[in-house]
Amino acid sequence: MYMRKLILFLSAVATGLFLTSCLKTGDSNFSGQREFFYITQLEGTQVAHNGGFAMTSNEIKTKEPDRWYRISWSWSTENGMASTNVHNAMITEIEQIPFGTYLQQEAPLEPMTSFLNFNMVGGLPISASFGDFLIIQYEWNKKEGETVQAKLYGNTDQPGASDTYTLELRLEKSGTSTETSGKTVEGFAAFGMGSLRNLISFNGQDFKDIQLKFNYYKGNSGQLTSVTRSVRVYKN
Amino acid sequence: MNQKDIFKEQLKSVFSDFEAPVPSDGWEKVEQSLNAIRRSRIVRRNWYMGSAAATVAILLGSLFFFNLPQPVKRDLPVFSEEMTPEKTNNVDTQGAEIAKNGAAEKNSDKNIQTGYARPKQEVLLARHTSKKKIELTTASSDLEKVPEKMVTVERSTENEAGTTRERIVQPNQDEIDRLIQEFENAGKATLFEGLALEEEKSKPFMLALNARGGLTSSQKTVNSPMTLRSASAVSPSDKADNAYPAYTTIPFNTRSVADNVAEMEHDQPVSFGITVSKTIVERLSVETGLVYTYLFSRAKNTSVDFQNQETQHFHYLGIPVNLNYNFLNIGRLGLFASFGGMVEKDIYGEFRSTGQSVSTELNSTSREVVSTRISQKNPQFSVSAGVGVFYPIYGGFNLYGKVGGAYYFDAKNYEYKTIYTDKKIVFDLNAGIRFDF
Repeated sequence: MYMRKLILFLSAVATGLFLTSCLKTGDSNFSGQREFFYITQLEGTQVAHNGGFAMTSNEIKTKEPDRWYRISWSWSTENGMASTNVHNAMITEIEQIPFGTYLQQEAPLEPMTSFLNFNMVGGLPISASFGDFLIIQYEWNKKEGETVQAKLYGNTDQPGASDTYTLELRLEKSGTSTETSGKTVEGFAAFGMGSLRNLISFNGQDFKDIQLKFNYYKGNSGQLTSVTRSVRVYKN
Repeated sequence: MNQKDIFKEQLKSVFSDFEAPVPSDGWEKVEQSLNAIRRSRIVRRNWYMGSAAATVAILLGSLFFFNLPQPVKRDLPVFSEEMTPEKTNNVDTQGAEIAKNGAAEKNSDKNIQTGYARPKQEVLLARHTSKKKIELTTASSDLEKVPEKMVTVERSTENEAGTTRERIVQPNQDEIDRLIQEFENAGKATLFEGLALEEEKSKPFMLALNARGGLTSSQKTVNSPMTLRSASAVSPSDKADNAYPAYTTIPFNTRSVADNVAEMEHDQPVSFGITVSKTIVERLSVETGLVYTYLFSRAKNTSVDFQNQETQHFHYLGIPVNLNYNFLNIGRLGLFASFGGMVEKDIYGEFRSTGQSVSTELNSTSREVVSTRISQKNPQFSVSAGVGVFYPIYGGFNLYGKVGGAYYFDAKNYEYKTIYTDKKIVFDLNAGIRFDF
């Protein structure tokens, strides 16, 4: 009798043991300050994503799609999901990244506005998922009334482009200064680099890691400076 | 006194110039004697080793000896009691006295009825040692009813308290021969069993409560980032599926991992269980039950611009099936070997991740705190083996311990890394209390 009860008990526990698959809940929260997100339109709704996290909000829905933005945001389990994998986020700040211009031609010879600092946003691949964009960050001396546009010039006649591709980075100033001295400001530019893909032989691979060599004028003296960064270019 | 001194003086004067002649082979002898000392040291060292070996042999022999059937003396067919002279009726001093009565105790109140000053000594009966439990029989109060095959011997002893007579009831010669033969046969039967089990038949069922702890943990430190979750385990809220293929496959990661230090640790599993065993054949029992196991893992990544820590808890319930073989008994201590397997399934799991990345260049930060209930897809199978000891403490209760190891098969639970997935073989220590019924 003892044994029967014991076996019955163990059987019941064992049965319950293998029927436990209802555990997919928990509390999580995510947040970011001035993080890069690419807003694209999916099923008629703007969604911001960075390859790992997707979100939407009323603010995001009003933004121009297929552009990069810097967003300060937060999400917790309480906010819930807008749809599968798309979080209902709280947006506190959203800033559009201006377009840069990529031209497959020789850079102009005339001197242009110098950079005080330059940085390529690392980790961002050139991929259709992100609009084939390459983002750079720079600093320049801005005087009241001036604006600049970043431009990249790349000569297509580069035999070794599949490994190292040289780009000339320039700041094209516009507007008239109303002051003699200026202040250092930060700027970003997103370059559509889809045409770069045509210069690369993928050899049957889905992607290729290449080196981008940036030549630019740096500092008040306008010294020609070179910086090389690695970037992954996806075939599609 | 003076004469002795004079004698000494004379001896001194005679031998004062005496020098013992140095033998020609003196140095050789000295050298030989030194070699002898060295040899004696070697011999002494061998002697120590021999002594140690002998000690071990004696200990082992003792264990064997103590394990041999013990109750030989109890088999002596002796009835003995002390009685007062006025109750003595039948006196027969014939036959050999085959056993001595031990120190007899004085009369007790219980024995007043029969008028005997009966010692409270156990009187043992010859028995067949076929592993049946032998009940010790005390002398009946009705000693007058001596069986036919028994004869009584009455012996008078004198002591300070006066003359007492001791009546020894013993079988006649035929019965003695028969019992001796039985005893010899029984001795032969058990002698060759070597390390025999307890004569008491083991009880058919055993209920045990036990705790088990892994002996080793798993630790790993590398430079490339590590996570307890595999890519396939990223929760739906973290990843995109086919509905949003645009951002499913390609990550955008601004974090630098060049200076990353990644640590991953799986703690030793800790288990508690209740098991029941049934003896299927002598010494061999099959065991099953319910075992709860707790697993804990943590992973940590640290770099200049990124810090992240993950912790993971899993609670498992498992059903073990083991065969236990009691292969040796040393006195009351029993040794057993165990072999079996277990199937386990997690009943509750929790994953927690806290991370922060800071990019000073981009002036951006991100933080995440993820707490998710998780579960493994498939049950975990394992096989285990070990050896252990048990020791009876009270009644049917035994303390037992076991050391062994388990091999965990690939359950294809790639979503979450555990010690089962990363280490495969886990040595453990098992201890508990067992009740035989």
